[in-house]
Amino acid sequence: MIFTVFVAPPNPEGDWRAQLLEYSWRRLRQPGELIRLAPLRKSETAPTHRRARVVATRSWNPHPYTEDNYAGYETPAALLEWLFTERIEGTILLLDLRSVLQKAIDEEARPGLARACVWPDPPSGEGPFGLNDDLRFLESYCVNRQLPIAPVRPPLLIHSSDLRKIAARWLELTSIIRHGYRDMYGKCQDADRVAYAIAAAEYRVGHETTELDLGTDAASGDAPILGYSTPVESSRGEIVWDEQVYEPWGEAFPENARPGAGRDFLALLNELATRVQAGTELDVTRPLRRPGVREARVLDDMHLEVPGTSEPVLLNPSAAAIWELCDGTRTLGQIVRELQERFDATAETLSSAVEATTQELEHAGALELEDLLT
Amino acid sequence: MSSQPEARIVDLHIRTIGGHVLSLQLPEDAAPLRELFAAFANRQQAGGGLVQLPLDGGRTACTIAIDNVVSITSTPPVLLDLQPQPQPQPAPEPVDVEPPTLRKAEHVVIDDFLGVDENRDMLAFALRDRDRFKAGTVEGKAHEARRNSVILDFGRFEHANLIANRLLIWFPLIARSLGEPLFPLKQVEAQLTASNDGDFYGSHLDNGADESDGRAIACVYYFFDEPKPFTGGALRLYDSIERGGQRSRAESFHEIEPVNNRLVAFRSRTYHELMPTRCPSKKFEDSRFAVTSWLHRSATPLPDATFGWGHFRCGKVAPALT
Repeated sequence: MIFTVFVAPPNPEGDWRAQLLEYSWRRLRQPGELIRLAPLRKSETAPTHRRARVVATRSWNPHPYTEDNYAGYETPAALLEWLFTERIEGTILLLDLRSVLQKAIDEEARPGLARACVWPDPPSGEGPFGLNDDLRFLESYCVNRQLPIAPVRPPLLIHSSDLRKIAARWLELTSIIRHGYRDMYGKCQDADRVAYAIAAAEYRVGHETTELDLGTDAASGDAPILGYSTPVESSRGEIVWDEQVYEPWGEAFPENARPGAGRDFLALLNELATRVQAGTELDVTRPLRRPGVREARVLDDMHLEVPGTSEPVLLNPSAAAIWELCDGTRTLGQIVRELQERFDATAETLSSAVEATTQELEHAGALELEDLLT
Repeated sequence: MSSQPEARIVDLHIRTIGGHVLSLQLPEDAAPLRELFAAFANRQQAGGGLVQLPLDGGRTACTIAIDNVVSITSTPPVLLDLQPQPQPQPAPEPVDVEPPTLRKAEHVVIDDFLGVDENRDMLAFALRDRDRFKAGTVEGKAHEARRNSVILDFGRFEHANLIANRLLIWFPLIARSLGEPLFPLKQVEAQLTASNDGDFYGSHLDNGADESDGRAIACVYYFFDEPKPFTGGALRLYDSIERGGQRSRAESFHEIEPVNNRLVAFRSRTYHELMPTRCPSKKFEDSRFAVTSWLHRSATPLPDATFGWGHFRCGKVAPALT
């Protein structure tokens, strides 16, 4: 089982990136489960997704004990909470939020050996762990400073048992480095990466470096993940798209980009943006009734008996109307349009109702939501 | 066919204050006879009173104040039952009839708590500082309650900070798992114990004594040589019975095996017991070592207090963690 995991706070920037990543995951029919870890501050509510399971965690930015503002706390903190709460076992594909899948991954990680990309410019030197002298203060906090560390960065393919071991130390070391490190630029901006490398070494999690991803500047490549943190350029070197200034879901112009990964990324982005703008996202999902589900009517309510469950699913009249249209011939979008002809409600209201109801029915085991994205 | 025996006649001479004697006869089964002796026997509790006695076959009655009676002479003797008469009791207070509730001993187990070298370094510390271990005692209790060795002031060593700092990362998750709202910390107290052959610690509460007030969560971190050179030494956590606001130990329990590099956390108000350790070699280095850290609750926030390595301020609860 592969858990594709990313961490995205519930804000507009996190939401559009999460939606894009989810779209790429669906499009490839990536095996396993997609999980969005959503660090929530007080009074924030968890976001919703079509396919990704959202796991709400506590935000550690700012750090609750030091009040240090640093986004790098969120990933180890969210992973720690998730893996402590859910005793999942399997491979975790940990993705940067600024990335999409461009090729399905079916390779499992084995315990003790993770796969990750090379971190090309770690702060190397004569200090502990082969790090530079600015990190010499780590000698006070680490028992074995001679351990060789693996300079790696996400994306990361790692077994859940390894990540479960190191997450707390990763989080702890990140705060130690942020507290102890000062250079001409201030606090260490790569504290989370340094902390991960040390924590993995301390818990004897080895790494095999591999080309799991490529950037938008790559001319070509076979990597399964595409990171878009660098701007997309034209053949003449002009910036044609930059994630820092992109307003979702504005049109991207892939034809302006240099052929290669950047152009492929913009084509994917445009595909989703067009669907969102046209409101046709629901046309790529078709609900199918699961075999053996039986219906029964009691007055105005409908009950569904789902094989393998003891409790019947109770549908109110609205949910029953949606269920009746889930006959395997209609997409969610077609169901919305049919309901619009019958009921005095807006398309937006009906879309929300259809999405929510079909997701609940899928969760209850009565429906399967077939992804028509290819 | 049988017949009831005829009641005997009892001759009575009742002496009152001032030397007066009242003489009369009553059948031994007469109610006034019983009332007379009952009143006489219970005059302290009953506070005196009047007794009316029949004279002259009932045609006359003599009423006497029982407080004035000095003695009663009876022939044949009347045996006096000196059991006090039941006194009317005040109406009982309404009793809380809430049924007892069994509370399971909630606990959290975290394996691989420290890194590989950190775990080994803990053992190295314990073996290097073996002279610091003293016999463990329980204040106010006989030595039968506990037998092990302990470094009571382990908290002043940097190895205690190693554990405390890591523990503070886990603290919000541990508290939530135990159903304990996150609280401002006052102190992280730590002791290091070594349990060798026959050592144990009987069932007890960590926050039972006055000086222990404030201990809210106990965290036991195990470390020892491998392969495990001892058997036993499990941590037994007892369920509790709550009734009318009172908590007592239940007979049911959950046992947690000591595993190297494992941390077990539970609420300090949980009855627990260290089961006997069997260590055939009896060598100190083969002991079951455990650091017990207690997270103390502060009644008021301590925003400037620092913990662990010294840069975590846990004396207040950050809004994000509430």
